[in-house]
Amino acid sequence: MKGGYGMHEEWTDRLSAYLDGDLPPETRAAVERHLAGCDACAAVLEELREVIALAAELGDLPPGRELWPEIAARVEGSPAGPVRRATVRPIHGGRARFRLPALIAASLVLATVSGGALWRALSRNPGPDAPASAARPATGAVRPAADVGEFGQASAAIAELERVLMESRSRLDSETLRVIDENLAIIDQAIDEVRRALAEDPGSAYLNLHLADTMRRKLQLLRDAGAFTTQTL
Amino acid sequence: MLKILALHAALTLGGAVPALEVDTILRVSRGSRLDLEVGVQQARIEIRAWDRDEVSVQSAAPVRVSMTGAVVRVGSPQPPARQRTTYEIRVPAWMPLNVNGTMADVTIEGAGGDVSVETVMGTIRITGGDGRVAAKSMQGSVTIEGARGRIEAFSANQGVRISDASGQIQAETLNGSVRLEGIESSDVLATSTNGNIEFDGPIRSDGRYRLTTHNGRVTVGVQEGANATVTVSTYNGRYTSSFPVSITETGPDRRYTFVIGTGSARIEASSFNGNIEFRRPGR
Repeated sequence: MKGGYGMHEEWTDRLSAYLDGDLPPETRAAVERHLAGCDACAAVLEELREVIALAAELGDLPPGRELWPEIAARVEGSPAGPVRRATVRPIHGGRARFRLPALIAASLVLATVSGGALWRALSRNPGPDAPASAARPATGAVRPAADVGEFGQASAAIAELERVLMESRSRLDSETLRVIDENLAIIDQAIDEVRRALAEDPGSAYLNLHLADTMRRKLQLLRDAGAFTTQTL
Repeated sequence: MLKILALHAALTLGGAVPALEVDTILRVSRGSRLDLEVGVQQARIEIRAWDRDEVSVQSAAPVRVSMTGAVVRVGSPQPPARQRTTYEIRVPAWMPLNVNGTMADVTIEGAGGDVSVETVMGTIRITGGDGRVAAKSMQGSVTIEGARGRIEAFSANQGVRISDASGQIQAETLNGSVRLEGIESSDVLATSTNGNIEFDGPIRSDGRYRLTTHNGRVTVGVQEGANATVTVSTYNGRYTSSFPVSITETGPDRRYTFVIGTGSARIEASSFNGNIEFRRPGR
């Protein structure tokens, strides 16, 4: 593989601007020369393109079934009212700048309306180190997703779904409830372990992605549980 | 028999035909599909393909059967029967199938079109399927064999096994193992929170393979002559390979990368708490 760890940051920081067409000609040419010889940065660029393409495709998709639209509306701060479409904002748009935590947060939000298509794209992390480099914001320091509230929207959705489940437990049969509780406990323990690991290694691309993946699972399980409660109404 | 003939006559006239039957045969044409919805009825559903352009529905208890346009709908009576009901259904192999239940064990054999099965408490076993083949169970194992196309399998609390399948593969469990055997695919995603993951199938040069779990072992079969860039990540586990590899890069967060052949395919294997093992297929 061409390119080694620790040599990509100066380039990956420019990829977003490169995709936006914002780079001056000489910088653009330099980026293209680097991309031609660096598999890791080329892979990051490919991921960013996929994310943008998927976000564009997913922006108009209808939300998932059952409770999600209402919950999405509440999470976004709208007053309770008519159910409306879940919206997709975080990275859709030509002037977005990409950092790993933002991409992860975006993937979580989008996964709730897309069935995980964007998550699939994000999870195809090809390079050994490039995402970690891509995660670095302009200031230089890596911002771990878990610590800076990048998961805020997803966390709020999880909290809301947990509240719904708590209020609806009586509608579920004991066996279904047992399975849901058992799996929520497994996921919560996993999240806890990853968070602790992230506290020691906040810049780890693997840990950030793994946390996002695990939170997505919890979100999906809670959505499924919500669907079961509505089925039994 | 008279009921069956009457239903045939009405269908020939093209109208919507609701009926409560225990034994029904419907003549269908290509483009039709089957929607089976048994709600909270405890059920065993067995769907088998045959070479006739007919749908046969048999059940020991009354069952709702109707046909509107190109959609054959089969459902449990309301209110549902107290006893567990068995549905034995024959369909043309080409017919897309959509099955939904809550406490239903579902077996489908010989499907040749799209298949979608969802149950809460029940096992799912699908043989065949071509197009989109999707199976989801909360508390029950999912087995898919011989499917082609876009294959999606999920079980929350049991294992998922996909074998002799080709196409885009997505397999997921929360608390159960994922076994992928005899897979011909350039796009594999297998994930679990608390389960082992096993992949055995040729690594295609243009393929992408992502196998990741939190608690569990990841085992990947890589054939001789494969071309892949492999990234291994584990936090508390260790990595082993039954064949020699040369680590080309070591990341700062317990990531290792090695290249096999030209490195054209991408394999990502990760387990937070478990070991990761690479070996030759079948060993």
